[in-house]
Formats: sequence, C-alpha cells, structure tokens
Amino acid sequence: MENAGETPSGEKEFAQSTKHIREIIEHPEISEEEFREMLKSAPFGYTKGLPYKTYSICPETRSIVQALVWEKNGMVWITKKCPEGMLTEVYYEDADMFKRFSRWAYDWKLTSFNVENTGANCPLDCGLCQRHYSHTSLLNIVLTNRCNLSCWYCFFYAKEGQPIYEPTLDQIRVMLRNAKKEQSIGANAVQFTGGEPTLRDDIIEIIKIAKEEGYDHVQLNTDGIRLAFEPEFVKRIREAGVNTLYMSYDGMTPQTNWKNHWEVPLILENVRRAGGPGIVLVPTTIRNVNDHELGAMINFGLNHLDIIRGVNFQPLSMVGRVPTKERQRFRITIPGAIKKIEEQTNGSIARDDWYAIPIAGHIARFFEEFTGKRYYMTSHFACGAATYVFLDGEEVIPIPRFIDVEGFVEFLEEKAEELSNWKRLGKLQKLKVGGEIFLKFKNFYDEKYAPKSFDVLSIIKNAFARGTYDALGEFHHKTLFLGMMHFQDEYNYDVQRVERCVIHYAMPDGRIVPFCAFNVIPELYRDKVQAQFSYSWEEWKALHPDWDYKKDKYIRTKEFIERMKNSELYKKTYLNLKWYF
Amino acid sequence: MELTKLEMRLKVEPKEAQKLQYELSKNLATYRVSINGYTKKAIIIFDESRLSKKELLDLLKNYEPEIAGMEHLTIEELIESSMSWRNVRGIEG
Repeated sequence: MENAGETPSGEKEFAQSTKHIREIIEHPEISEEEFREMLKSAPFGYTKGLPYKTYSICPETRSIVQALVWEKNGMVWITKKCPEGMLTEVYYEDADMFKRFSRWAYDWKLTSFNVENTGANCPLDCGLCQRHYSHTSLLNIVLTNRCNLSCWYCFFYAKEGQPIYEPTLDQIRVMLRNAKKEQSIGANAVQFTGGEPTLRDDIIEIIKIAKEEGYDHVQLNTDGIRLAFEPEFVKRIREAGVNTLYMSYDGMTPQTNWKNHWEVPLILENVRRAGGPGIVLVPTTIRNVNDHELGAMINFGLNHLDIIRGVNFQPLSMVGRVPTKERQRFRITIPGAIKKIEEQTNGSIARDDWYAIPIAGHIARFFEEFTGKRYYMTSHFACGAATYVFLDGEEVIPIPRFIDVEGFVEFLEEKAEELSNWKRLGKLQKLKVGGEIFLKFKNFYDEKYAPKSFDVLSIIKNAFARGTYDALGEFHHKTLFLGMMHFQDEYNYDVQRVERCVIHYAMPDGRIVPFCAFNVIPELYRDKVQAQFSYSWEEWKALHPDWDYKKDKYIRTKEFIERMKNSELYKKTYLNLKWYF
Repeated sequence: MELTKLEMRLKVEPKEAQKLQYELSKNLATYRVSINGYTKKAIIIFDESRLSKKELLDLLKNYEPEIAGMEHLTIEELIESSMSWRNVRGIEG
C-alpha cells in the first residue's frame, strides 16, 4: 500500500487507517433549556470548579459566545449555543484529572503588549494585549510556506502557482527581538517552523541570528527528510546552535507514520554521528488512527535514548468544519491519550504519573532563582501535561514513583519569598538555604523506588549546591521527557485558555499572537498576514531564477523503500527493539 | 508602504463591534483593527491603496463614525510602534 514514486500526502494511508473504527466518543444530551439554566448559575472562570462559564468561538460565524464547561459521566464537556445551533464537544476525558490539574493554575500577568487595544473582542483582536496573561515561553516563527511533503489535510503549504511566504533575515531578527524584550519576562526559546523550515538555504544563518538575539533554546519543527539525506547538514545545524529537533513522528508503521517512517533510521543515524541535536518525537495523536501505538512510540524513544530526549504527543486539533460524527471518531484529549498509554505500557506509565504543565513552571521558578534566567510556564492547566520517565536498567520508572513532586512544589511555594531573595544572599546564606531545601527534599524522596543504576539524590544535591541547571545534566541523559500539548480548534475553543497561552507566533507586522488564535482563526492571522507579506509566484520566480517548485518536493522511490527494508539500519531502528513494558 | 491610521467614535454595541472587528480584520487592506463596543472607540490602520478612506467609512456608515484623529505612517513605523519595549504598561505581575 506504500505510495512510492510520489510526494507523501497521507491520504490513502488515512483512508486505510479509518476503515475500521474501534471506538467513538458519545456526546451527552443537553437541551437548550438545561444549557441556559446551567449557564445562569455557573460562575465565570475555572477557579470555583465545574461547571463554569467561559467564552468560545462559533465554527461557522466566528461569533464569540458564552460557553459552559461542565461535567457528565466522569468527563468534561464544553457546550455553546451558536447562531448555527447547539454544539457540544468533549473538553477533557477525565474530570478527576481536570480537577487535580486545575490546582496548578497560575496567576502571572504579562506587562508588555504590542497592539493598541483592550482585548474587548478577544480572540479577534490579537496580538498580545492587556487581556493576555502569559509571556512568550516558546516563540514560533514561520520561516516558509514551502514544504517538501503534500499532507492531504494541510491548507497551509504553498501549492504550485500560489504566493510564497518567506520572511527576510531582517524581519526574522525583528520578530525575535520583539519577543525577547517582552516585560517582565522575555522569550528564551524559539521554534522555527513552516512549511518545512529546512527548505530555506539560509537556515544556518537564521539559527545564528536566534543565538545572537539571546535565545538559549532553538528548535526546528521538521519532518526530518533533509536530515535523512544530508549528514553534513545535521552537523551544521547542531554547530549553529539548534538544541532540539521537534520531529514529526506519528506512529510505528509506514501506514501510521507515512511522513517519515522510511527516513527515520537515516535521521537517527545522522544525528547520532553528528552528536546531536536531541530529538523530540511529535506524534499528532488521533483516535482510531494511531492511538493504539502510543506506548510503542514511547518504547521506541526509550530504545534510542542516546538521541531521543522526549515524546510530545499532540492530540489532534481539527482543521476547518468537521461533522459531529467525525469529531466523535477522531477526537482524543490529553486524559484519553494518557489512559491509552497506561493500558499500552501495562501500567508502567500510569495516569497519576502525569502533571499539569504549569507545575513545571513552579519548579522552573525555583531554579530560576539560582540561574537568574526565567523560564516560567504559566499556561492554562488544561493545555498540557508532562512527566519524566527514568530508564533504570530494564525498568521504566516515572519520576512521581520516587519523588512526591506535588508535595515538593508546595514546599517550594512556601519558600518562595526566601528564594526570591536568593540573588541578594551571601555565599554562606545560599549554602544554608540550599542545604535546608535539600534536607527537606529528602522527605519527598523515596529511595526504595528510586532508580538504582544512578544516584538521583546526589545529582539533586549537586544541583542545590551548585545552583545550576547544568548540574541536572545527567538527568537528561537517563530520562525521557513525555509531554502532551493539546492545541484547540473551533469546537473545543476556550478563550480563557487563549488568554493564558504561552506558545506564540511572531508575525512580520509586529504582532505576537497566541498559537490557538493564529492557527484556529487563520483568516485573521496566519493566512491573512502571510498573504500581506508574501511574494507572488511571479515575484518569487524572478527573485529565484534557479528555483523549481518540483525540486522542493520529496519523492520517495520504490527503490529507496526496498533498500531501507533490507538494511541493517532499519532492523536496528525498528525491529531489534527491547520492549520495556 | 504608507498606511492611514483613523481614530473614530462609533455608535456601536459590543456584539456589533465584534462582528465589525471580524469583518474588517479579514480585509487584506487592514493592518490593525480595534473596535471597542464598550468605549465606542475605534482605531483602524489600513492601506489606502487597497481600501480608500471613503470605502472604509461607507462600511462603517451604520455606526455614524466621527473621526477623532487621522495620521499617516509607514509599515515600518507601525511595526516599530508595536515592539514590546515600546508598550510596557506596568501592570504588576
């Protein structure tokens, strides 16, 4: 069924994957009257628990309407009344997890803005404004809308004859600087994305510019195809300063991972030889399509722990108008994916091993006092989840099995005031406070369940004593980061999540826009601004006389597939794997 | 590219303001749109080569626009004015 001899688009593979629907999410019944009654008595905002009111967007009319986030049958739903009718969508598949995560809501507020408005029509009047709560934790910059693949569902990449969007180096520098200088916390991390960012010939220069502008974390959001065939290029991007390859990886088979299944062995090998950058696998997670392979993808990461730093699952966000039936088939939320991981790893990575993303912010806040750098993650608690798993010989140990992370973070919060004075403390006082925290830390640490093959406690002690992130370095080589990031769509849209968003796009018109505004309302942001700043096809051709659209496109040949199938590298990458669960 | 910045008062209700915000923001001629249905103030920055002032005011005629200010600026000036270091409002974090 492999589509050799053409540019991968995934259309046939998707059709094949969805022939047999294993399960659907039944939406609960709610009448308009019940909805109105609940809406009347529910408080606004999540701080008082479920149910609560929020604002959402209507798929057809783009009206901003009140919505109800409510609980039924152990799940959390969002219901709204749009001009086009009543609409209910699953918001979170586990109400208990929702409640546990909501404890870690954050109260930070951004102080620098870049549009002259009040957010009265949020999210129709972005960039960052007075109504936004979070600074930019991860800045996205679209480098091009050219792409080497032709994904069937993608409306974004330039088809033949269409305008080409490709910001200049000066524009990129301005976008980087804008986010870097946000008050009170500037962006430290940037992701270059596309299209396919590696198609740009000046990508090395762009990476260097990001470093010059003070970004310590630079990641490339890539399908990895170029990296498979140009080992020297991998070295060059590493040397230029890329820390992470945020690489599309949707499954374990050519059907589920039609984008780069055959190329991944080469990519991994080239990264290994180049000594980096570290890879984070990014599976777009779709119910009934690849949700049966989530455990296997984690296992894959553990088998290549020398170069794979993490697996960051992205539950599907729907594109465009999607009928209810299809949403019921394909929608999966963070707890849904976590449940499947628990099942598929035989309980080795369980539901309670995960944390809401803001908790990482609380931990980071503590280390920020040491390092003087600020990496707050003040996102909405429902946007993401994360954990770390340790590979201890043949055993996989999630961090909460031996560290009471929530208890420790609560303790750190109590210590917040003392820690905020950290910079002003003398050396002896620092040692005293560090020592005190370390001693207390031991109360949250259970040696019995801790990894045996390396000394976690001494690494932590070292970190407290030296007060640096670097001292935690060994952690990163023995652990796999597991994350979930659920971007929204028109159906589950919660404006309160957008207000808290920490993953932003810089636009060439000077604005910085939250991810779920930029991509969910493309006619106002992504598509519009790129139309304003694009080259027409003719202009682009005149500027690049040697450029050929067809040469951008990757053709996977039958011969290549055969060669890979029979290679030792393929076996080493996919077949000779240890099963850790 | 030269842009025009119009500051206006509009007789517009919040719900209508939202619709107007959306419709004007979609237009490729606009670079900034802020229609506040509560304060009744509007700021629109647009490219007159794509949408004339007259056409814009026609689109707004139901809301009886009163021009409170007008200036011209380049796209570079607009971008520069949007940089984060120029827009620190000092709200406590």
